[in-house]
Formats: sequence, C-alpha cells, structure tokens
Amino acid sequence: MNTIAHASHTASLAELSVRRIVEELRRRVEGLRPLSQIESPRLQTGIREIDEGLLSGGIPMGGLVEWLSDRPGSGAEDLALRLAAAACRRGGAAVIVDGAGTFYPPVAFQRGIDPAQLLLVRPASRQDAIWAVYQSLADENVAAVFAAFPRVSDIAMRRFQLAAEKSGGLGLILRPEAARHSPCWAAVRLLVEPRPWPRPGDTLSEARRLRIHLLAARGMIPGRSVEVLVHEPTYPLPDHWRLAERLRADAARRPQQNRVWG
Amino acid sequence: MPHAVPNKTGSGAEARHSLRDVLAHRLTRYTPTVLLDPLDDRAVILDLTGLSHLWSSELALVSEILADCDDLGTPPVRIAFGDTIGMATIFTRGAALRAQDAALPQRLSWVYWIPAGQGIPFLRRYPIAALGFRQEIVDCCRELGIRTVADFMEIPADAIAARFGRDTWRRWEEITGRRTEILPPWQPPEENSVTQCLEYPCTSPEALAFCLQRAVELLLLQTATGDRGITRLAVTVHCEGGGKVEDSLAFFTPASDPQRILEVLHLRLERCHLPGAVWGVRVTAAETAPLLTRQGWLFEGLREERRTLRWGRLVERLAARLGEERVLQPVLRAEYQPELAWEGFPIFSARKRSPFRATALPDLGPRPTRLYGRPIPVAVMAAHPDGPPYRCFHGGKWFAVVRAWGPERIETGWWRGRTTARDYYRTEWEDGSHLWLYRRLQDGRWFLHGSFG
Repeated sequence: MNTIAHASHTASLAELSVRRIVEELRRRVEGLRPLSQIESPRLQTGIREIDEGLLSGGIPMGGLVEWLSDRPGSGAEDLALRLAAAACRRGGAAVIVDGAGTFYPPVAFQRGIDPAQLLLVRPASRQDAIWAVYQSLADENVAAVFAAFPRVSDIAMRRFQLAAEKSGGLGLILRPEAARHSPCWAAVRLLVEPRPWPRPGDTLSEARRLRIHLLAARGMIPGRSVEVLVHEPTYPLPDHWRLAERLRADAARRPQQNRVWG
Repeated sequence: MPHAVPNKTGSGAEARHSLRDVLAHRLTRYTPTVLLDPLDDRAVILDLTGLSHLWSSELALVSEILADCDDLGTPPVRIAFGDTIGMATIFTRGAALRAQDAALPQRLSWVYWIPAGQGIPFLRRYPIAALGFRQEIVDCCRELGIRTVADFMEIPADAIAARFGRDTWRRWEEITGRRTEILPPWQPPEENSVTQCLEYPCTSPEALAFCLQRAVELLLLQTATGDRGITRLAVTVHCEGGGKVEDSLAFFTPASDPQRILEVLHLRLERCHLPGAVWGVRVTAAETAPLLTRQGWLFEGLREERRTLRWGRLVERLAARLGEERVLQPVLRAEYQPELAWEGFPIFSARKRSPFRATALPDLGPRPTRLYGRPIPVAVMAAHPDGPPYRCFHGGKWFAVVRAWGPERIETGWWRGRTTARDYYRTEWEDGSHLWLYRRLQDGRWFLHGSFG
C-alpha cells in the first residue's frame, strides 16, 4: 500500500512539473505571437470600441500596457484601473505603486478591485518605485501592477516586460505623452486624448469623450484610433438644475427665432 | 483590580523592566490576565474579575502578594484595589503627586482599598496630573485653574471632548467605568538571541553577510525547539568606535527558513549606513509565533495557502526595502470628508487589526483617482455666487469650464472642532480633462482637490 501511494505521489509531482513547464512554454510562445492570434482569454476594459475595435479582443495577461496622456484628469488612469480590476477578478492581487502619494484607493474599490487584494506602495524615490514595480511584476501572485512614471528609462521598462512575461502578471504603466517616441517594450501602447463635450453645458449626459490612439501593439499595425464615450455614473442632478438647463437652452434658441421672425 | 507599583526602582530602564517582568511573572499565579500599564513602566495590573472566590478576603490576597514581593526582594510596593483599571492606577500613581500621600514613609508598602462604587468621592482630592492625561492637557488644565479632580468634574461632560479632545474624554470614561479600558497583556520576555563576533573589525560586505547567516542559523535552532517561527526580528550591528545600527524586521508569516530571513535582512541592511567597521552582530527573535506546518502542496486545496504565503513574501521584501510605513493596506472609513474616507494601515499592523477583511463601499458620488493632499487654491468665475464654476485660472492660464456636475455638498466634521463645509463640482474643462473642484462655504474660496483619471 505504501509503495502504491509513493508511486502516485511521484507521478503527481512529475505531472505537476510537466504541466508547469508546458504552461511556461505556452506563455512564451504566445508572447511572440501577434495580439490578434493569441488564443488565451483576454482582459477587457468593458468598452467595446476599445476591446474589439482597437485591441482585437482585449489584452492578454503577461505583459505591459502603456497609457500615455499629457494632463491630469485625462481618463487614462480610469481605463487602466478597469483593466486592473478585470485582471484581479481572475485571481491575484493588485499593487498600486504611488510615487506621487495622491492615489485615492476608494476609486479602485469602486472599479471592482477587492479591498482585501489591494496593496498600496508609496515609495520615497523614483528608484524605489521602479524597484517596487519590478518586484511586484515578478511575483506570480500579483495580477496587476499600476504605476505612473513621469520619467522611466528604457532599461527599466525592459525589465518590467521580462518580469511580467515570466510571472504572467499585467503591468499598467502610465507615462506622459512625451514618451511616445521612446522604444516600446509593452504589448500595447495607447495614447488617451480627452475631448471636450460638443455641447457646452450639457450636463444631462454623464459620459465623457475620449480618443484612444493605438501607438504600438505587438504584431499589429499602429495608427488606428477610436473615439469612445466613457460613462461615469454620477449622482442624480437636482431638479432645479435640470430646470436651469432647460431655461438656458430656451434662452439660446430665442434670439435665433427673433432673427427669423424679425 | 489590584495595581501594584514598586516604590523604588533600579538604576535604569532596563532594571525597571526586568523588575516588572519578575513581578509580573510571579503574579501570574493569581490570575492569567496580567496587564501592563502603558503610562508607568513599573506597574502591573491584575484582572481578578470572577476570581474573588479563590481567596477568603481581599486582605488575604494582599497578604499573599506582599509575601511574594518580599520573597522576590522587590522594594516596597503600593497596591490599590479599584472598580476599574483607571481608578486603581490613579491611587498608585497619584500617591506620589499628593502631598499627604507623598509624606508616607517610602520604606513601607501601602495598600489603597477603595470600596466598590465609592471611588469617585475619594478621587476628588487628587491632583489633575494623577488622571494620566497627556502633559499638554494637564498644563492646559492648570492654566485654566483646574488643579484637582474635583475641579475637573465641574466641567460638563459634553464639554470635555470639545475642550480637551476625544482622547481625554475616552480616558475619563475609562476611569469612571463607562468604557472598558484595553491594555496590553504582559508577555514573558523573549530570550532567543544570538551574538556573533568577528575576529577583527571588518568592512567587507561578505564578512557581514557570513556573520549574519551564522547568527540567523543559530537563532533558528533556538526557536525551532519550541516549534515556533520568527515574526519580528531585531538586529543590532555593532561597529568600531562604539557605533551601532539597530533595526527590526517583520515577517508576514512565522519564518523558519534562513534564506527567507537573510534575503529580507540584506534588503534592509542595503539601506543602512554603517558608522564604521563591523565587529559583531546580535539577532533577537523579538516576536515569535507557532509554525504553520503542512504536508505539502500536492493537492489542489492547499493552493490558496501557498498563494497567501507567496504574497506575504512580496510584502516582506517591499517592507524591508522601502520601510514598513510605505507598504499600506487601504481600509475604508465611515467618513464623508473625502480625505478621511480611507486610511492606509502599514501592512503588518493592518494584518493584526483586521486580516484582509473587505468593508462595504459607502454610497458616494463619483470620486477622483487622484486626490491632492493639499487642495490647490484656484481662481474661479461663476455665473452667480452660489453657482457652478464658469472659468478657472490654473497654472497661469484661464480655462473655460465646459460642463459641471454638482454641487455635492459635504458638511461634516463639527465634532472634530472645525466644521468642513464644501460644495463639490465635477467639472469638464475646455481641454477635456475632468477635475474635482470645491467651494469652501465659510469664505467662498475655490480649490482644486483632485482629478478623474
């Protein structure tokens, strides 16, 4: 009896190690394929135009996604957080490396990241931030790492990419728009450009306009862009505000009517 | 609730602590709940709730305690019996502050016995400093002419928190028994420590690494005998010329693997500046816990545990290199003021307080991804005084506000002494960015408080 148990134990261990090697090889092969040919399940932002139109089905785990934007409040961080939440739903933790010390965790919870699986790291220097991102990406129990860098070297980005590929995690790196000309080690590089709403004062709509440019993607032709409306659920507007909107719209129409009839 | 304090102490803090440890160890024979008084490093507190039937009378208990003290060779002690911990501590601590008590011969032990439910009348004559408030509160009371507990009791209960802060109010409630006082239990001092010395002072990192490895391995041999792992390791590196570097490392789960400990230790020491050549190291298992032993990872059911352990390794590395206070577990708080709506606990203390328990999200409006620690004052033009922003001046430039949602009025915090009254607007500027502005209702000034993504 003991002999049989020992034999099954050995077989299971061998089977486990083989399975692990096969998984590792599969991940590496997928890392060489174009995004459109990857068969493994993808992460989606939940915005169809981005997921289907721009990224051919979503973003695979085990790589970097660069989000470029040139101003605060552009919407890039919100999209990155949606991806982080999608990654965490598959199991694993989210690590936020917040060098600026301004990240607001309740919004991560609002996006669906489990508070029990969120780790906030506030490094004192840029070097520490880079080290923390690398360590987190290299940990196979971390599903997503979110970090913003005003400046980061290509060497550091390459190290991030290797760490993410090895662990199967997702690195969400936010950089300024000026980084668009630097070498891209990420699986996808996106530029987020916020657009003002076409009708000023139209607060009845809660959506915001964003134009997303695909600057680089593995195995895909860059240069495409889509314009999306991102719905941001807000608190309901008070009735008197809606009335004011209507009165303002009426007032805007009145001179035109006068011109026609005058 | 007896509270015992030796009248005289040893030569230094170390002597006092060892005296208290000896006393506390002996007093565990009366009750398993021996507590430490955080305000007095000489005092121990015995919680005898539900144990009074074990002695014929309190006099018999005091006699036994005094006999024990005599047996241990401690200096004369003061023992107080009170309804609450706070009450008992006042009668021992306050004794030295009250002239009448201070005049008592110090070479004798004294026992204060306060009849049940009659502590407050006795308390009235004691100076305000005996209550154990913070020194600035005591000074403030003196400036206001509040010198005794009787004077303090004249203040209306509602005004105590407002005038002297919530800590003072909480302390007063603990003393009067309206709130349970929670104190740290006494734990026997850890004796697991190893000192390793080099043959001669050395500056080579390899020599230090070898010395540390040897010390950690020997230390683990000590802790392994009790089937325990290290959860906090204290390290002292002794350098030439009397200099030394002291540090401590926390571990997510009890550590018994030398490689794991050394990896974290090296990450921490990389950031330390050594004042000279190293001649020795001392490692101490400051906190230990029973080891989690499992058979292996063969079955699927154990994967979760393995995941927790690995996640813990990352936390240990991050905390060792960046500092424990920089690796945080965010926890939501029931506050409407945005900057107070969450709190980041250092991960190791968060683990002790609430082990990764998710909290319910309050039903709030949209919140920004970035919240500035200090709101940025901005110049704003509004259509009317209470209206939404129309144009904003920020970064040396005027921006038109294309859309604005709000106001979301947040009016809170009056109990903190300063009311926060703000009207928040989520605004879309002409360049498409979404920013969070608020108008301070007290003076009508505008501030930029955050950005949406």
